[in-house]
Amino acid sequence: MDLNMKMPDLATNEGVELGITRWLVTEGDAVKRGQALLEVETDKAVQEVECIANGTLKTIHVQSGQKVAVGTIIATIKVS
Amino acid sequence: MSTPTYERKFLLDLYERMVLVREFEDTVKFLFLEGTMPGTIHQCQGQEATAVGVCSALAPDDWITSTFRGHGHALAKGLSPQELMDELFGAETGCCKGRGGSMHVGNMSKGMVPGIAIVAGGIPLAAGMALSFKMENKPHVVASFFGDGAVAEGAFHEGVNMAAIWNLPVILVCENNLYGASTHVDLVMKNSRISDRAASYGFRGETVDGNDVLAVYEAAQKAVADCRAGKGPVLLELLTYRRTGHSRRDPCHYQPKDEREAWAQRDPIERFATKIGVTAEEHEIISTRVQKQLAEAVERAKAAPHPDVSGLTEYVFAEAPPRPTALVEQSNPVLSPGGQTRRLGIAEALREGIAEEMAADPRVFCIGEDIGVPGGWGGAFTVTLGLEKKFPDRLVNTPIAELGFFGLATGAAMMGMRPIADVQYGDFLFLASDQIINNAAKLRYMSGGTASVPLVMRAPVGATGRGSQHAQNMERYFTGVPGLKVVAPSNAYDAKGLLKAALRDGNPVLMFEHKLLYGSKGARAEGGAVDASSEIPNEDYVVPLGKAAVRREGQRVTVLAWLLMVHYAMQAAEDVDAEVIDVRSLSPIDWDTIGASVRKTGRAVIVEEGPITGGVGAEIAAGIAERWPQVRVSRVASPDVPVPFTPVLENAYRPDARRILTGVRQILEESHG
Repeated sequence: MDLNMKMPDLATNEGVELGITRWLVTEGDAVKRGQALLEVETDKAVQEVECIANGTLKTIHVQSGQKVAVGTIIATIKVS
Repeated sequence: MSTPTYERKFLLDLYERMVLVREFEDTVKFLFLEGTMPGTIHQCQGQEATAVGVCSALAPDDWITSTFRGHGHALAKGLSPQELMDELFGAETGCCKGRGGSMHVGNMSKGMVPGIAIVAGGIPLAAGMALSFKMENKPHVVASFFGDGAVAEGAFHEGVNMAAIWNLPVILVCENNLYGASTHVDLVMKNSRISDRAASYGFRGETVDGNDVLAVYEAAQKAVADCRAGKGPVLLELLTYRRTGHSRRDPCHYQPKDEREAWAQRDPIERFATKIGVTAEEHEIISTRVQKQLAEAVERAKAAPHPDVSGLTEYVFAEAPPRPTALVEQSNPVLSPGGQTRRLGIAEALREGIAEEMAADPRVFCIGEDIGVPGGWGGAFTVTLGLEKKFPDRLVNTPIAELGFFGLATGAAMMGMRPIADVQYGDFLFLASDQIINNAAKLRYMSGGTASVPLVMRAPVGATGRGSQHAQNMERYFTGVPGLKVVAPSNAYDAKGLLKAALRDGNPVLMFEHKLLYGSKGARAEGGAVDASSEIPNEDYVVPLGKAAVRREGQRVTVLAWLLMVHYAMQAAEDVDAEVIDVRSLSPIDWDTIGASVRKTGRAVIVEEGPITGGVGAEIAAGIAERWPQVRVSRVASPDVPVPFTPVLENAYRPDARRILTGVRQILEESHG
């Protein structure tokens, strides 16, 4: 089963776009629920976003340096 | 040390309960990251041993109070993951029917009051619940969970002090996770060993490794035994650590990395697994069972029905079971044929009403400052004078601690008692207002209509030579609080009848009384007092809440007033053919009676003692304008100043018959012009 991961609502101000500063894993890596997958710059701080399932990181949809709105699909995980 | 003395099943149950809490919280966290869950969350990953250890030492009919971080407490007390998950999704099937949400989870049938999300607000409540158990000789105990941050709150001091004075069966459970939101305990307390505080109140405190579930369980068991033996309260400081943010967007950058890692080594679940040697097979069985339970809970919660919007205003008030009374008045005093009366002042009539209700209903008790001290005054205005002789155990004299004892009264009411809490001066209600507005008035709604707070509160108001802080008219601050009823009697008949109706109503009712109307005698008599005495029937009667009374009929203008202003309005009305309405019930307002009058006269003058801006008069004016736009409305009230001391200014501040008459003449002339 594929599970889409969305950009979580980490901003303290409504409607702020969040920038991905870097991915901590690459496509094809095995990932675990709770593992830090990427770093996001919010209006408050830089923080890590955790993986929501166990499996393999299939696709990264939004690359480092890009900004997206909350709810945008940023990765697909093939759930084990 | 003690591992061998426990049965394997008990140990594995503790383990499973902790795993359930951890997995529930993680599941919720990922639902947030997924973007499917509304609102905010405060989670307890890392603190599982405190909730599970304490609740395992409680019986099913013992109680807990909790905080905004209450998911773990709820699961440990026996709430199902399903009812919690449904509540978090805002579903009608949630434990509070979606009205409470994450910060207010609870279930009155499982011994958990809805979470109190005001820091330390649950402590006085728990003391009051315990007070009710003591008064009714019930064996229950209350465990009140709070964080390290709560210790700096006044509610902690006031609630804990009263729990100590009366040896109440409360276990004060401080989950010290080192941070109040993002602020480290060392920044906000000189002595950060929280259990030391117990000694200053005269009871036992203990610091326990809060990440060792058996240590917590054993300390809680001992505390439960002490409480049941009448040797409460006990303060348990449980040292633990929050492995997640304060709330959902908090990345915890204030927790140093080495500190996080050190505490991760002391994870309560892993430590316990090692300590009791959970086998891979046992873990697998438990983990699979928990995962399955949670997966089903999420699946169902996502599809659970949400409340219908038409139900928005349900669960604000309880429908009380009526207690039969001989006489119910409809608008003005009634008397059955041949019935006898006596003339009493307000203080005497209230005293008689309280005594009759206490005699009729063992759940009724009085709680307040100086209310039943032999040789004392019977409260600031003699209302409870001498009642302690008749009801020595039911006049609870409190410390000077309004926030605390209004919280105790609320807690006792929630457990089924019928407390009457009074302040010496209405101005002090500001101190108590957190408990009145955030707890007493809201708990029924937040619990989805399962809790009720049959609490009567009394407060003297009015400018009477005492300056700015013992003289305000407080009605404005409490009128329009959802879940709270407000009455303001102008005479002795109403005072007694409304008090009785309030005690039988089953909801929080706040009664304002005017210092110049009490008819207090002796040393407590007031200069400038106005006679508000009435013929009081010998038989039982009530004055229904929510009803105004027409005091004088007239054709040309309606004068609306309450408390002292009714008397002045009556004096003014004689010259101008005015109809005078005693509004009497400020929340809810009796629009039927008011409407019938203003439609007839076409003019309304609203008289209020207190600043004109934002007063109750403004609400009445708006209500008339919306309903009957053809009616001309004006107000006679005090200017926007604090109550002055010097008599010359105080007299200018308080509306009197002359100013009311001027106001009435003005509206009559305007409408002719």
